[in-house]
Amino acid sequence: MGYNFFFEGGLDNSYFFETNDGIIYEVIFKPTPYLFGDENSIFSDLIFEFSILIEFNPNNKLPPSDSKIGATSTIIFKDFYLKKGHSITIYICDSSDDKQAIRKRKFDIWFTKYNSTDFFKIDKTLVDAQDKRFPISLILKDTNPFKHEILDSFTKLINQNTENK
Amino acid sequence: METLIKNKRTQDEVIKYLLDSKKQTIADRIAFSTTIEFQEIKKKLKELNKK
Repeated sequence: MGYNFFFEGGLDNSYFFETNDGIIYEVIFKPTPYLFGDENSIFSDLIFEFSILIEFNPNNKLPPSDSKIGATSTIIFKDFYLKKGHSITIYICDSSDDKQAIRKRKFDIWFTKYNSTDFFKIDKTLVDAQDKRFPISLILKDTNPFKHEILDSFTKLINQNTENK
Repeated sequence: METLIKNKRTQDEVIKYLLDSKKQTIADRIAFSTTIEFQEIKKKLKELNKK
């Protein structure tokens, strides 16, 4: 069981919810047409970056562990796909504090725990010119009509990276 | 060689794009939390959680 939430919409398809500790989270699906480097591909308008953001924290302390956040985020995720069923979601963790691996692990636990097998996830790692690693997940519905083209583009993106190292 | 350089640039551009986008998102949210619009969001949440 998750927290109550509502869909605010806007450019980033925002959802909001508040925890028992008074922390307000915003979950967004930000249009990201440039992911594969081609904004004109047939599915570029369907690509969204998924983020869970703390919008307000009254305690100014690290939020306590709260299993309802994962449950709520998952329900929101499914709600978004009810609105836009052919969406392609990417998840890249905030790496500004070098805690991207911890965030990724938490995300994977949520996905495994709450996924009803409707969704297909592929995990890869992007590596930049300085050899810094960025875990990235791509999620889509198994029924997405562009599934093969999307996976092909995503694989090319990753392989390009590897070949150039 | 030219192709490889182009591919690599594209690759790094994609990473930069994603990370810049993430940074911008976080900066936007910090700014948003001080706005009247955000006060409206807080009110809506209060109402929602009363039910």
